[in-house]
Amino acid sequence: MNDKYATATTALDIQKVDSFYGELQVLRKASLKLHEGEVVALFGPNGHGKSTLLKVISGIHPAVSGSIKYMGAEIAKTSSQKIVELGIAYIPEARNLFPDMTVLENLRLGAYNRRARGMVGENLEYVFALFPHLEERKDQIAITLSGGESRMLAVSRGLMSGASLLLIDEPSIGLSPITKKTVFGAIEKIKNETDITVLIVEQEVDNALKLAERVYLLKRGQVFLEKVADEISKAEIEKAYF
Amino acid sequence: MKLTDFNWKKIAIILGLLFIALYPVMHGDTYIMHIFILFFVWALVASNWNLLMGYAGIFSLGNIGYFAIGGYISGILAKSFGWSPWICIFLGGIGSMVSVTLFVGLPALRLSGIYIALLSLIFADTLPTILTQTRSVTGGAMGLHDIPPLFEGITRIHSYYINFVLFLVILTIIYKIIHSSTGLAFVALRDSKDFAKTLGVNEYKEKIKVFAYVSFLTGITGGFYVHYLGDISPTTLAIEPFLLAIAMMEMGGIGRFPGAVLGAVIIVFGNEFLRLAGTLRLALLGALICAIILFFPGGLMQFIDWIDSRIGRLKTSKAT
Repeated sequence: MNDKYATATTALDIQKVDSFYGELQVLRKASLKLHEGEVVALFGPNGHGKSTLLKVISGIHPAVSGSIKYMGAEIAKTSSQKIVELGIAYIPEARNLFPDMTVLENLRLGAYNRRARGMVGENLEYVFALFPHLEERKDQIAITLSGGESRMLAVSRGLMSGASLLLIDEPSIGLSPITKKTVFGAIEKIKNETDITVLIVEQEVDNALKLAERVYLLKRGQVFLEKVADEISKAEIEKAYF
Repeated sequence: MKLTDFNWKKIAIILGLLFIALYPVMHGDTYIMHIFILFFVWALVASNWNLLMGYAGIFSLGNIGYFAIGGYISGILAKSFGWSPWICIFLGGIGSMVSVTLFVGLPALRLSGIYIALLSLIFADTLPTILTQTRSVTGGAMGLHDIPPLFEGITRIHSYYINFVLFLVILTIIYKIIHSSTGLAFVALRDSKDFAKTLGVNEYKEKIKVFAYVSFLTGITGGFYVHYLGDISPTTLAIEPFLLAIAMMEMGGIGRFPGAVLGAVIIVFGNEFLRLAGTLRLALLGALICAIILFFPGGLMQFIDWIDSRIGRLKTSKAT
């Protein structure tokens, strides 16, 4: 491993996690590690367990065996509410907003957990400073936002929970190339301006590879490749898909 | 404040409330005042129901039962022990809250959709049987009579203003609940349970909370109702009040805040004045409900949105 990571504290440590949908095994002894404050991309073809891994971390889908440690504490059997309170925010891919609520209401809902409730004001200021665009639209109904705006709102809502680890599921899915840039610009802002750890799950390599410090590849439910982002090219990752 | 900040809805609400507040002084017909009081009470029942069904998305069909429990407890306590009706009303609310949370709320944690509807309906349906079995206390099928009024020498005008204040207070509470993080959590659970959980929303806690709030507020409303009328009987639990309350919600717009109040205006006043039509009364009301649902499936609130968009279009065409 790189020297840079020898001293960094481990934020999330996943060891040999198995997970099923009924009889179908989706994750097979999947393991990965996140250091505090780094941005990591998890690539892999469709239907090989990337989103499931995020759901398992955030406690929505059960891990049958294996261990998940967050800041040293075991969370594999913890309820999703508790996990949010511990500071892990999961940002699902499509349809991730409450469409009939306003932008502000969606954000306030992000701060629902007990720890974040007292800091709604501060967190709002912080989110609006990061995305001034959202402040202009705060009273707008979420369904009227554009694709890029709603993705940004989803990320902001994750930040409202006071999270120190963001799990972002396919931030670029269904977006035009320009809006993709905006969304990744937003994640880059988080990377540069905060010490939040970010795990991005992506199928598309381009943007996420530029942003990430390290890269994992997940195939057939197994993490089979781990690289520092500079040491791997887009072509190599895409070759591994097939 | 700029002139454009005024919107017609705010003006209509203010004028409406002013009219209600001044009515006893201006005209003061005791019969009309009685209908207004019925309107206050039913608007609260329907608004609470809307909080449970429209906002939290819990298909409860037992709300008239929650109302009757509050009324009966308060009436029985005031009549048999001679306690102050104000305390009895509060205890009635608590009684309703405890029994509903225990017998409907807790089992509902394990149920969803139609099964909650069945459970709550069964809960409300057992009440008439319980009432007839406990005739010595509840008066059985004959009902409970001579329930003491809120205070000696109360007049219609007093009752009118007391119920008006109750109406304003409980609607304000409902409004506050809807716009608090609890209310947002109700809507989040309704729209997507799994997703709400990922935001840290505690499903069980929120469900129990909404049952507790709604049954308490509905129970209190029941208490005020029986102390105003002076009697209550199992006919309260019959099919007609149940259907009318649902109609208020449907007509107003489910899951929209003042919707149930608007529905209550139409149903309560329509129901009274259509008595002139004799047996056609319910048929006419039914036709009205059908027409509204046909043209505005979102109820009167959708009609208001439609007027709003028309006005908006007028404004922009004038501006250009």
